[in-house]
Amino acid sequence: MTVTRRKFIAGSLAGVGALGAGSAGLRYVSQAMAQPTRTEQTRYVNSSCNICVSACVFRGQVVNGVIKRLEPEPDFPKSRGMMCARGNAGAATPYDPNRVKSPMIRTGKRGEGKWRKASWDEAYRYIAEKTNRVVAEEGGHRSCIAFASTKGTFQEHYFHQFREVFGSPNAVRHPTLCLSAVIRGFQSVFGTYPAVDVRNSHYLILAGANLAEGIIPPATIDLFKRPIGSRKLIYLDPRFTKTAALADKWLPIKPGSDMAFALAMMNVIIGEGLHDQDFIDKHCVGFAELAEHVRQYTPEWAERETDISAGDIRQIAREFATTPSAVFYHGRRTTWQGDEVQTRRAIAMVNAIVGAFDRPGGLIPALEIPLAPYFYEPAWYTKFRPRLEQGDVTFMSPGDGAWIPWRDRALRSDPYAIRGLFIYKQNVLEMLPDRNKTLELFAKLDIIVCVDPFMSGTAWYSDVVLPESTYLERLDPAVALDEIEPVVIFRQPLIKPLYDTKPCFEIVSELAAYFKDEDGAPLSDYFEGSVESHTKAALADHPGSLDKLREKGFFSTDLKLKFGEYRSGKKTVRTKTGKVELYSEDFARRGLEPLPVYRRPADIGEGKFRFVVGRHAIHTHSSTAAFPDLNWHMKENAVWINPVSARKLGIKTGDTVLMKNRTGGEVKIKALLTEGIRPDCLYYANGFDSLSPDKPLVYGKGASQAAILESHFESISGSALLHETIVEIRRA
Amino acid sequence: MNSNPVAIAGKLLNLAGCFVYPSAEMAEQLQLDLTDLENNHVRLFMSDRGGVKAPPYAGCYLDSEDRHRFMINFNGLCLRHGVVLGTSHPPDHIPAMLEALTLLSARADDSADLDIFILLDTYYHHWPTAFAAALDQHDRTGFYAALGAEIKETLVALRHDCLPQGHQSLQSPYALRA
Ligand code: SF4
Repeated sequence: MTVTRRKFIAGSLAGVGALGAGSAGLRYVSQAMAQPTRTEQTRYVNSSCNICVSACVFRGQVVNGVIKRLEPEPDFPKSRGMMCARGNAGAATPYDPNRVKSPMIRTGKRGEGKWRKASWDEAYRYIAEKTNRVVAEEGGHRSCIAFASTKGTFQEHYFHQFREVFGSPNAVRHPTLCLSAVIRGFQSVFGTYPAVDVRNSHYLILAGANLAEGIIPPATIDLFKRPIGSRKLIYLDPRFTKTAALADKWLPIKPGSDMAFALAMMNVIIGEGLHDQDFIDKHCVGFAELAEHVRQYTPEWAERETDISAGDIRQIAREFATTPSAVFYHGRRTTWQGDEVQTRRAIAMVNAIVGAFDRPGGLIPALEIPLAPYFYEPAWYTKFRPRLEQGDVTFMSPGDGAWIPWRDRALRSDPYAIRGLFIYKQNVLEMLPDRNKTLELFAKLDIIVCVDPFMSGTAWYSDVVLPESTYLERLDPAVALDEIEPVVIFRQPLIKPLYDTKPCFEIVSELAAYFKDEDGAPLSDYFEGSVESHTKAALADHPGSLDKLREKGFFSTDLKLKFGEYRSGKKTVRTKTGKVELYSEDFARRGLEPLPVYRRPADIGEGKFRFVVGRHAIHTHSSTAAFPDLNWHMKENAVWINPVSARKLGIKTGDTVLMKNRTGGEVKIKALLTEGIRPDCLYYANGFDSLSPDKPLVYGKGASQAAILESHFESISGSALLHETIVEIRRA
Repeated sequence: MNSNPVAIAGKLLNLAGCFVYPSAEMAEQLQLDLTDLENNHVRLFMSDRGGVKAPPYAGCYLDSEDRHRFMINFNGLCLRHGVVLGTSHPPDHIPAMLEALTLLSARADDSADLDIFILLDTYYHHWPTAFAAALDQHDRTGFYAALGAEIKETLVALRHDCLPQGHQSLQSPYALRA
């Protein structure tokens, strides 16, 4: 039965239209005093961007209650008066008609796209009923429910507060898809993941750190606003990126051989006596062992491994060692291949042996303005099991987990079954390598809950979607950014939350009321205060700072970085020995190699290619490809293929090609012939072919990286290996 | 029709009321299955494969760059004339605009700077056809298609009736989405 136009006019309109109406028949508007002004009412609200982790502070211009644009806050030191195009495009996010507008409960099969709107109470009840049932079936073990999330919002810790008081150890966060191997490598040498004083450096080596196209830390601005000739930039990458275009030298290194390059640099520097003996004697341990170790790694040997000429390696090593403010940049780059932590250690050591630490232009531990920690009562459970992949990773971060081994174990229910997944803003279906495996895991789960402002691919495959207010509509607590110029920032709403959405703290503290701990107390008892009260408590030692935050969006103190404090002994390097560790006893004790030993990556085989990932200028991961302003610039991705390789395969630009990996992953995508990639590699950008039909701009457009990446990890840091995917390609 | 918005305020309010999320009572009145009605409401206005099929936001039917200006200007106009749009939706929310029209037109009689024809021509003229077409194409219950057609017809007739003698259509600042 359907409603005809005649029936509509004759009866439905009056009957249905008047249902539940208020006294004046108004539901959506109200009356007030007229505001007799002809001009627009403009106000500015300072807050911080949430499109990438750089969290640039902006001045939000709100005109007649509508966010018109986001302008850079000129005084915010970290972003050097800049706001990038991605950040600007974020201004439209609250008004996106495809936002999730209220809690939604799935009514069809997973992924079928049938939903009904639910009240918050209904959604919470639904989640609690299903979750409690599976926990009971698992003998009361709450570890059967896992919690995935990503960095970037300042409310993520509330989500994990919920996990902790709920009683599950299974957190899986983003670091093992990001920087965990880089951080672990540098920590093992310097005791910290240091900042880089790019502003004062006159010679930089970047190994795949595509600063010109990535998120925009201060280093990017400092690097590229410098006049040509005032610094030398050496860039190693299998692709000719925009950073390559701005570099003095682009070296299309063979993927997986960065360690060989670093070891050969040390061979030259030490062999020619160009190292900083004074710094090494006073601040390092293990130099003799390192010197002996790198004797085997000559530039001629490295040329065969890296495809970079011995002459270039020698010249770079000499220039690097003799330029007083040279630095080998540590990131910002995700993990590539097998020995990633050891590769990063080798890069850290290149810096150490020339004394590029605690001096202008070098590496320097960042500073952080201390804030009072957020505190909540822990919950105690008698039924406890360790996290799934506990034994798979040497340096396991319990709060982060390691996605790849964790998922493998969850698929095998080894050593126990995972029955539910709560997800906060992590688009696991679009970000995790091997999407088929993730879908297989989803199919095994009894309950999937997703908290997200948008219907991401992951939300689309969930059972319940709880809509979070966007970063432009909510108050986020104060956060201290550790930087060379440390600052505290927060977020405040530019407008009231649109639709029936809530901030994360409200969502998880309300949901907690539907669960009990082992003693029968509601989990909501563990949540106290509000985001505002937490912010005030965090700032207790900084009188007047909340007003500064409200006005400017940030504050700094007289905490300023001073070079030389480690060299003078005022501060101590945070390794076990208190020194920069060129040889790691700690690694040796754990059965790991105490010095980086190079192993040639396995041959990829005839007619095959290594798939490489990397940033591109227009989007941040998978999160922005569907922003209309950005999508306009790049509507679809295409696979980069070198013309020499393409010719052999009869592939032309614009051809649709089929790519297949070794584990059943395959994609169809258009080809783009370019000299800007090595003949043995293929690349395409992230963010496309979303699984969510609710993201029409990227649904069915191009190909997803998650669909072609194979699933590998390295066991020291647990990091996913994103350059271990070998593919075949042919015309489709 | 020969009417003005004040005369048909009740109808405009009822049209706005039809956008409320379906209830059992509503399904009963329409003699439709509640789940069907809910699924259609969700697909059309909230969330669907390929994007919502008929976003209930007027600016979505204009050139994408115009939507922002449209929202700013319409909200500004409402504020100047004492009409407060709810904050749960963007200012171009169609049911809110229908309700606002009843209040604004009532104020137009006393306000020299509020011309009802200019109001209709600027804010209620460019999107109804596209909105009605989207509903007609995608609604499976007939109810929302009829709603879209009725909104379009009502607004076209109003604009026609309010057209001053000898007056031509104005040059609107907003462009239709291609
Ligand atoms: S770099 Fe761009 S996207 Fe990232 S926080 Fe800053 S403005 Fe936002």
